[in-house]
Amino acid sequence: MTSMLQMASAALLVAFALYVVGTVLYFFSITGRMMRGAGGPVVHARRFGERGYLVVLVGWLFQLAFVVLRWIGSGHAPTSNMFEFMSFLAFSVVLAFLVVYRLYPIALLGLFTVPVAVVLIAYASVFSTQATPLIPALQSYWLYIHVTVAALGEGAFAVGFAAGLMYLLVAVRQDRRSLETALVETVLWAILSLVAFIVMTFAFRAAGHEVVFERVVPDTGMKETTVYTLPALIKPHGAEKVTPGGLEPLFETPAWMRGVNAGRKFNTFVLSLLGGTVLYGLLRLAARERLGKRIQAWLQGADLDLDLVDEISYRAIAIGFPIFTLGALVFAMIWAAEAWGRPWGWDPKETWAFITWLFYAAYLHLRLSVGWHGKKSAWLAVLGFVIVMTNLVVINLVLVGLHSYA
Amino acid sequence: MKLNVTSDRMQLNVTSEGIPLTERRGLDGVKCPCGHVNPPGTLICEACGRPLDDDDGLLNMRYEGAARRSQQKPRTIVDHLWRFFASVKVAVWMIVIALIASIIGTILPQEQFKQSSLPPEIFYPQTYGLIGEIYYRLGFHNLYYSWWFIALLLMIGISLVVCSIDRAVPLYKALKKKRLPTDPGFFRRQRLFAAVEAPEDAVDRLRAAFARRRFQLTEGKGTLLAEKGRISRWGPYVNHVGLILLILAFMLRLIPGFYLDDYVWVWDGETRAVPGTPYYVKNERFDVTFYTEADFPDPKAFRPGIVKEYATHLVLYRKDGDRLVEVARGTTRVNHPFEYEGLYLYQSGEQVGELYGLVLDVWDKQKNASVGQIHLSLYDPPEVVDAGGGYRVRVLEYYPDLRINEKGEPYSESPRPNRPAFILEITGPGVEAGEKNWVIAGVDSDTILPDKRFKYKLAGFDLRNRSGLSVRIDRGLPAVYAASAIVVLGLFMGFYFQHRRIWIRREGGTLLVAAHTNKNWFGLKKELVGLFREAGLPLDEAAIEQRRKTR
Ligand code: HEM
Repeated sequence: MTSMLQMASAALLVAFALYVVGTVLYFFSITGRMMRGAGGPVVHARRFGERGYLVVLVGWLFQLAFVVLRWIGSGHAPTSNMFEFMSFLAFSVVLAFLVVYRLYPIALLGLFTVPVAVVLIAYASVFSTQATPLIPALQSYWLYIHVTVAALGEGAFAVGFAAGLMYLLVAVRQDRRSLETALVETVLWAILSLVAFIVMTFAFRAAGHEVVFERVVPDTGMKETTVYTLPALIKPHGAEKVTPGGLEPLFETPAWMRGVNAGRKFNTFVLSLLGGTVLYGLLRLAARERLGKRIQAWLQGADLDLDLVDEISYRAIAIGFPIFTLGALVFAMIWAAEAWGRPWGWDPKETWAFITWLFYAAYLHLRLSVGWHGKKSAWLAVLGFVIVMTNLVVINLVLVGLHSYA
Repeated sequence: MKLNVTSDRMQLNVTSEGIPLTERRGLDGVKCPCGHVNPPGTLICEACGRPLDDDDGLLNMRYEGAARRSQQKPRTIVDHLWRFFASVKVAVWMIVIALIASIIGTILPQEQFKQSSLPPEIFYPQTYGLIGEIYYRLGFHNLYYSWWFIALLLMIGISLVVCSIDRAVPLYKALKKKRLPTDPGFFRRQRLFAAVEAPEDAVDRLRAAFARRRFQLTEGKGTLLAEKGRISRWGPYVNHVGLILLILAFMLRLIPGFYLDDYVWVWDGETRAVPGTPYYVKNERFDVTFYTEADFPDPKAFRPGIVKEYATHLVLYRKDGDRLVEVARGTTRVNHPFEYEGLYLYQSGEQVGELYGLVLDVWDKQKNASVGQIHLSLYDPPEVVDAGGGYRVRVLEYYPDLRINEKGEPYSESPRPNRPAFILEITGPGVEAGEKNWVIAGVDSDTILPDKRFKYKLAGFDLRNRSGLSVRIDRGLPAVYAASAIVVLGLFMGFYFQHRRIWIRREGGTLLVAAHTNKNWFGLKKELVGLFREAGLPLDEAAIEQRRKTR
């Protein structure tokens, strides 16, 4: 079993590497156009686009191997903790990309979608990668069905997001400042914050950084310790630093943030935003203009048909919506009825699945019946995936509910 | 909703969807130059396909330009209500409000999840300060069951019904009566349009190509209509009907006897009434098993104390007169509930090694020896116990949570055994009349009544497991599942099929080609090119005019 798990980890690593290579190839399919190559820019783009597709496809097969080996090795579908779920989500994003790309083969889609999977796998690896057997609450085949199907739908939403973002980067007028340019910058900053979080986690983990806090729980009088692996800017409410030396925390977590490790999570969140700000600032200094403007100038060469990008974004969401409904609502109801004796109970996680679903329903109606196409629709596609990620990240880690993966 | 009166009897009307309606030539209908009189609100002549507006842009093909009830001039209150609920804009607003409310409801835990015995009016301000106070005052602590949230969901339901009827009827009419447009304006104003020079037999060759691609063909008045994937058009309606049924299925629980939601704690070995039902349940044994190192796929990850299974082995009885008659037995585990004729018992609470009773040594001070031991349950104390050696102990009084009032009388503050106290009376050889004594948890009885012959020494605790069972009846569940299946079916119909229509018409030496789909224009364009290639009629993609939807 251990060897299976080791092979699984190796397969995931290869998949990750291939996704990175695929991203680079897609990158060249756009920028390389400006270079002189045999057959001219169109042929060049197609050639690199196809190479990229092939590499990503092989990467996906490796990730499939990861899923299968990990399943056999751990004895259950790899969807039971944050590491497994996030990497499975990356798997669905790539699958959705592979399908949508067959319908609409434009190289730029790869450039925007595959990095989503790269970031998701990196993010997944932040969490404990150990395989543990299932606690009673998760011992149901509905776990596999519900989580995998929901993730597949979310993968399609991710492609809708990537195409929506692509649309906005091209279509939002960058020749003057506006609310829209500010929003584009905000989205880029949020993405950079996620990247900063991943980079910091790995860097400080490699350095073995640790700060321990202790506090006395008022009701029970027992001591509670919290270990920070990132620099402690904000300490847990009412706690004292035990580790000698180092930085003294500047702030304290507000009292109403309760729950397991609220202080640490809040600290991590603030640090990530700060890290994102630093990254954004550096890039902006280098670009000497809004990042959106720089990207737009650079995308100009790709000669995109915006109508087509608009359709891709909608189509990806249209493909994802039935699957998401099936997985995140219907199968979730069946499982909840079996596990907790009620199909629906407004637990925070369920509620957020409902919110996500309502959001995409609103998106579809606005598009189909009120006629929101183009930029409006693209903004909604971006926002929709933000909601999906909120559900997966914030609700799992911050709000406590029946679902918390702890 | 904009209403521009251009003259007394002529109105240019823009519906809530922003679709320009045709000028209404009188209340009785719109007359087309071809002579056909269409119902008011019609956009495209039913007979010849001629666009009935004076516009030049993309033709709105929704419901084939047929009129809907909600677009006709409202006269009665019902008309106004109909119009309100038939508006997708209104529906989207309601959906967005429900969405935002749902988000607010997850900011702080709902009352049911607050994991505290404090009443909400104290819990929220105490835990979350001012935010908590406001949250509670505004009723967000119980949002999803509040009357207005449920009313909102019901209104969305009403909107679903109205919307679906409002549109399904014209859609049905439009799809049933296949229209063969003859007017070139109809062709030119489709999103995909091409005019190509074509040989004599072009239509025949195309007919064969269409058949190969499983298109259904209709012909007449010189126009060929090829169509496939019609089922897709019904998807939204099937889905909406499913959603209405889903709401109704959840409302089934309002019917008495359809729904029961209760809870019972049962000690190991104990039998208790199942609340809300004629049954009794006995907990024969409650098991907690833990994973061992061997269960771990990766031994390095092993930590002791991770639960593998909670299981209650139980027996279900029905009361028959004074006797309990066994009706079923089985096991309930997390995720695998016990079921008997629609009654479900879920493993949903676990207390391991809880204090259940006291073990007391009955000590004879005269003989300076123990008489024997007795067990006293703190939840269900016995009336009499045999202490051995011919001695019997009677429980005269039991105070689970002992307090003394101002008059010096004992009483119990609560049914929870926080400070259990007994008044016991022992009878037997030498104490035929009986001797009364106090047993108070944590207090040596000698310090209260030192003159008694017998005393009770705490010899141990009786620790037991207790299993918490959720009791459920939900007869509406199959309906919920069936409705969900319809919802999903409708979604797959709507999104995984595409209604594609292609119209072909010869005008002189030119072939007019127009195509329409409800989604996937890119695919439709590819299909057109492919069809023409198969028919041996080269059609360059660039020759297809595509009207832009986006700016
Ligand atoms: C939250 C509940 C709802 C869901 C999940 C839902 C779902 C859908 C879906 C998936 C479609 C197809 C969209 C497409 O093809 O792109 C659709 C279409 C539509 N929905 Fe809804 N819907 C909901 C509520 C409503 C309500 C309350 C109304 C009433 C105003 C409504 C009116 C419509 C209309 C008019 C269409 C277009 C149908 C057509 O193609 O002719 N929907 N809905």
